[in-house]
Amino acid sequence: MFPGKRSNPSCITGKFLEWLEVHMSEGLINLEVFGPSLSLKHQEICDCYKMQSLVVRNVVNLLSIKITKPEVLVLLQSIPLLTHFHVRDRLEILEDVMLRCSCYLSKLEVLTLHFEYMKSVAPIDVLTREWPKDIKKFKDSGYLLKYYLPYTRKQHLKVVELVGYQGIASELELVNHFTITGVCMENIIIDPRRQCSHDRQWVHYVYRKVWDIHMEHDSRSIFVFLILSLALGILANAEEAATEAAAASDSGEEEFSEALLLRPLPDRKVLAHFHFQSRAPSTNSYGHHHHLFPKSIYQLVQKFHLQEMELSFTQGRWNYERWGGYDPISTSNAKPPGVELWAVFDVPHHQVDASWKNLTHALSGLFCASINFLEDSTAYSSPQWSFKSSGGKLRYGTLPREAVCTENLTPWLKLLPCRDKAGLSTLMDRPSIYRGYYHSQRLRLSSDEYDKEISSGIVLDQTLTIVLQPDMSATGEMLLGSSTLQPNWSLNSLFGRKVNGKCVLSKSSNVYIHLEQNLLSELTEFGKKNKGSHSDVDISGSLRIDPGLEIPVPPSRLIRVGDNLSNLYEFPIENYSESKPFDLGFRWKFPVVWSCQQAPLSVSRYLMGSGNERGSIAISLKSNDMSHHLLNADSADECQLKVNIFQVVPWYVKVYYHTLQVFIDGNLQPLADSAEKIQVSPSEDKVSPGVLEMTLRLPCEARSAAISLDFDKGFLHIDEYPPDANQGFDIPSALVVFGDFETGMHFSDESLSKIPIFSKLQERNKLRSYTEVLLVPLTTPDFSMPYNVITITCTVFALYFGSLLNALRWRAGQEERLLKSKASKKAGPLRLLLRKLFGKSTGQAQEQPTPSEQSSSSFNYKLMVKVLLVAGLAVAWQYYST
Amino acid sequence: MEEIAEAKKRKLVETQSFGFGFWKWAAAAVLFRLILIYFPISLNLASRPEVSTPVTSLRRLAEGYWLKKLSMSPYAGSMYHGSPLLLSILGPLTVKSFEGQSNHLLCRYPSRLPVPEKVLGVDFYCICSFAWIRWMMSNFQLISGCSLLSVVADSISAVLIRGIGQRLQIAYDQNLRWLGLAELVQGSLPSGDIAALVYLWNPFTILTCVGFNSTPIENMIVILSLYGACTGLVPLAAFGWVLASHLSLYPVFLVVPIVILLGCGVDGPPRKLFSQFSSKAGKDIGSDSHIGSIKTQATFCLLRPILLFTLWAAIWASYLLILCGISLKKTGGLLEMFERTYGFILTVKDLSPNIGVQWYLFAEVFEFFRDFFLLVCHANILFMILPLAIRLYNRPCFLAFVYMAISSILKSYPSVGDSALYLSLLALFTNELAEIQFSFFLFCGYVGVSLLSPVMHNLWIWRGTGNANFYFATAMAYACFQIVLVVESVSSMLNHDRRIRKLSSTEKAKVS
Repeated sequence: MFPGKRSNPSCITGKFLEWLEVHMSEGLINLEVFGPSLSLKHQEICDCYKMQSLVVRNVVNLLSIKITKPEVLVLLQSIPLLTHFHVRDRLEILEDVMLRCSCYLSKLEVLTLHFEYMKSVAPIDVLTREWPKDIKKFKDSGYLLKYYLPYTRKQHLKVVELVGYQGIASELELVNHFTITGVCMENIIIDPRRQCSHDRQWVHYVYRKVWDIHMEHDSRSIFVFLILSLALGILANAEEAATEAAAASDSGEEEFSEALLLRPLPDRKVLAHFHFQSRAPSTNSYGHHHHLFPKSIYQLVQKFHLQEMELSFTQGRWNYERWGGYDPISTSNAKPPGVELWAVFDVPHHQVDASWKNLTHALSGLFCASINFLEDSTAYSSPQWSFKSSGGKLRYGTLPREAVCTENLTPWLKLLPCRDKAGLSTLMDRPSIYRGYYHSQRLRLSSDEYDKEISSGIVLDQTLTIVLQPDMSATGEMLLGSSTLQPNWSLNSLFGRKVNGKCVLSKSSNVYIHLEQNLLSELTEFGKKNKGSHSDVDISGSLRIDPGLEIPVPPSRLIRVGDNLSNLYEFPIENYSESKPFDLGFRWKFPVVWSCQQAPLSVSRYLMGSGNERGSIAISLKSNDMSHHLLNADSADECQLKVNIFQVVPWYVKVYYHTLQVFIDGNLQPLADSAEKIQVSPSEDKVSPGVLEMTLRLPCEARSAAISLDFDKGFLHIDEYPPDANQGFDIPSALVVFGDFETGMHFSDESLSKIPIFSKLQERNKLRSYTEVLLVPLTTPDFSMPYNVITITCTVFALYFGSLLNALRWRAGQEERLLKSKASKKAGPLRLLLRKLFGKSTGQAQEQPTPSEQSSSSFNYKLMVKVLLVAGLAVAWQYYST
Repeated sequence: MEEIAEAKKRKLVETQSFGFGFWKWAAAAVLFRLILIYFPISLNLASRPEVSTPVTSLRRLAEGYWLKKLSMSPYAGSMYHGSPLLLSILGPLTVKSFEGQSNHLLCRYPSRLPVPEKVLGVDFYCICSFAWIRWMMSNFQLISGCSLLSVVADSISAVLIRGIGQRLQIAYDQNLRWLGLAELVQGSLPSGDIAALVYLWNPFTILTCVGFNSTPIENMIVILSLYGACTGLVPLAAFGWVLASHLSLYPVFLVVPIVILLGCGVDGPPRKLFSQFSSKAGKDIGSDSHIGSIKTQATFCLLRPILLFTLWAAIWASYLLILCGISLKKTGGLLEMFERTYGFILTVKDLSPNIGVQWYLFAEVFEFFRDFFLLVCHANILFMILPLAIRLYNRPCFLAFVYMAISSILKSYPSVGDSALYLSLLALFTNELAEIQFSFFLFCGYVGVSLLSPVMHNLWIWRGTGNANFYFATAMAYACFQIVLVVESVSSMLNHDRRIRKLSSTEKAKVS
């Protein structure tokens, strides 16, 4: 054994002391250990209840410190060789912990923080400038709530063990923190059990001074326990992971890439489309551990067996006429206002609903939105074929009135490895992006984890599509000739920020400017007209795409989109840094007027009728004169357009599906002629919404088409009305899918499809557009008077019951008596009053003789019978009760 | 038999002297309905809450039929809550044949006038008249099915009511004469004719008939069962009762009056009177056989017709259930039918406003009290059955009226059609209830409520200026007036019996 010492001095200066152990010392109050010449190597201070502070400074040789009951100030400074630091408290309630390790603990290997029953937030500052090389244990037990681990990059941290994990938010955050920042992390051992049972045992061991052996034992027991229980443990052996990674190197690593696509819009606005893609290889080949891929999303996929999922938060409505209705971005990123969620599950049919419910709750927690309202069976539906063919495992729900704000954006950004601290996402200045005309934040998840044969892993696409109005005042309204110049813009003027270089974790990080076909043709025409000498690159080095516009930063390359004849200019942002931020300008030289490519039919939906009793919904489709020439490849004689309509109606809008009418060019058409396929699942009161799916066949030359449905407005119970009942109720957007049209850019360069944003733009999707949300005002009852209604109604019931029973009960004899008493009352009110005042005896005396002899005798007889009956009953009762 | 013939003759004379052409007025009523149907005023009667309820609305029936044609359950979507048999009978009538293709359906008023055919200058008038005839025909196709059926139902009901009334009249005359109160008979009115005309000319009935719902048919079946019971046709009575209960649940209470009618005969004064009267003075007046028969009736009811009725009811019920089962075989089956029809009526799931008292109560009542109040509402009807049956034992037809009135007050989805039914049944007792109190007040109340209620509904639902409470107040007032009517008619009927007893006792005293 090492030389030990038990004492209670306030200052120790023994030069050759190597092992300092203080146990159960009542007198120890302040302890200070300092001086570089000390040879103290181990220090243990246990169960000194009156101790108030411990200061250890400049002890060069100190290797381990162990403290129990540290509710006092613990200050550690400049202990360069410290490898083991163990803090433990056995007290029942720990009110306040002040623990400061503000020193260079550069060699710290084992940090054990071991608390039970923490009551309040305990500030534990472990301030290290750089996290030491090998921390093997980070042990925590009890309700340790908050850690301050500032400015640590944890480059070397390999093992973190959390014992007594409760799953509360701060702990979760801590784990998240470790997973995100701990680059070299090998093991995170989360042990949800409590350490209480071990406690007494542990104390015994301390007294026997077999501390080291015990630690060995303890750690092993935890390890074994974890393997057995797997309660919340996430365990990955480093060696295993290494071999697996070597084996599955061909299936790919995790990938992250970011891109921003900017496009000038005809109505003087700018579309900005952020696209982030995270990709995780399949679990079979890669394991559960991810460096880049968000753990929460991975767990969603694992837990709910998601095949596909899309969640979008949208504010504003995509203007199909002005911003385009026939390109990949409008098809896949124009979303209905509010929240839209759909998911395809890879579970047996009977479990789909349960999975959906759990998923909504998980997402609502993840994104701080009321997605959990979609849990209710009246809020979601399972479209069969019009939305997406999925074999009945698709669930679809929308919340049209959900407000979208930064609280939804922040968790969305948290899924990105760089958050909004680096890379393109730094542009997301909240005031600027919420100032826009349209804002749609989308999360699309597709996974084939459960295809055992070929599994390419999970792909998470996060897009943010916004339509912004460039600042007019900055450029000034320049009038050139008759038409106004489009406003000039730059990244800085749009977002108020510049890009300070890429997110280091992303594979590719580019900004693109997309010029549409119509714009380009306008520009070239303009150039031809002017016949000015135009070179691609100006003298100043800035790009002049055409005489019409100018981009100061030269693009790295020009990508021509095959069939669309539009141009994409690529600007890589890898070479930019904080000192040299990237800012992209866009200047117009001449006024240009162009229009976006339209969908073959523009869709809108109306509410007809007045009053709060009934109404009808009409969906009108107007031709944009495109269908004919888009479809002329088909047989010319029978050109028909296929239009799928998918409409969900909440149950309180009671739709009469038999009133479904189809009008083509204003004429009523028989349903059998115009509709190819109809599927109706009518709404069930308070159970399920009504779903209408239909495929219309319209002749190409039709100018317009409309379908209409009548409905009755339902009346709800007062509890079912939302707080702002008079605002009305929303009917979610209908979805119109044009089956014959597909969007998707075509690139001549095949290698481009490896860049995620291009692979997304290349996807052939059926053209779709959403209609407006309808607001249906419903009649409201008076919310303030349930009590009045109950009492008045019950009064009527009482009136009915009482008076009818009275009428039945009334007998002739009684009536005669009543008549007589009435006659006697007619004597005059004064006498009546007098009689009342002087008692009723006189009145009774007057009335008594009136019954005839016969009736009185019968009366007596009846009385006798009654008395006998009662007496008999009483006797029987007495007899049987004893 | 002689007496019956005599009574008939006398009544004929009376009717003629009264200057009262029943058939003329009845034909006029039917004609009036037809006129209303063919020249529809756009009152949107089909969707008025007073006229059609969620249970009886034919618009909902059309939806159910459409769903059934799509091989779905007609009860899918909580739209239709009626009988599957009604669906198969009325369903095809709601389908409008659309230019040869029977695809579109509507049992609703024609929305547009016919587009005039292209006149090719041949004979303008000829073509015009042809077009008009075609329009009439298309109109006929459009609306006729259901509406004509309701007109037919209404006329059949009127005829049946007349039949019941004549039975009651004969019984009334005879009873009074046997009691020696022949002078009372002199002033008696032909109550059957009056009741039938009240039924035909009641604005409520007319509205219901024109308003596209199944109430006229349900009323007809109820009246049919009463007619069968009055005339002693046991199978008919059982059929009507079973079908009526199947269609709208509440006529199930009619089993009490029907059994009494079958067992003990039609309405009359308390039977004790006859026994007293015949024992003391019967020998002098009337033939002995009649008194004897009445005496036997007074002491106990005939058991045979009641047993027969039970048998027939069982037969019809099983037949009905089998039919329903066949028509619902592919979908939900009988269990779903009971849940969606009776369950819908009993649990008041639809809270849309109507002229009853329950919708607003259940829209406002706290969720945890809902079951309790459901119990209270239904118990209020149930608890009255026995006391009424005991007290009005000798007047089964009147008992039927009281039951129908009570259920019309307290049922979950009442309509004016129910009032039309009980008001015409009330008119059967014009002679007995001659001294009813507050009759003018009640008449004014009915008129006032039926004028105010649409106004309040309009203010609340359409204009948004009123409040739900306004409309509910009219519903409460309506319920109160109905209650007063029921209570007053019951007490005046009891008074009438009392008066007869008194008169007969004086008569008896005179005779003795």
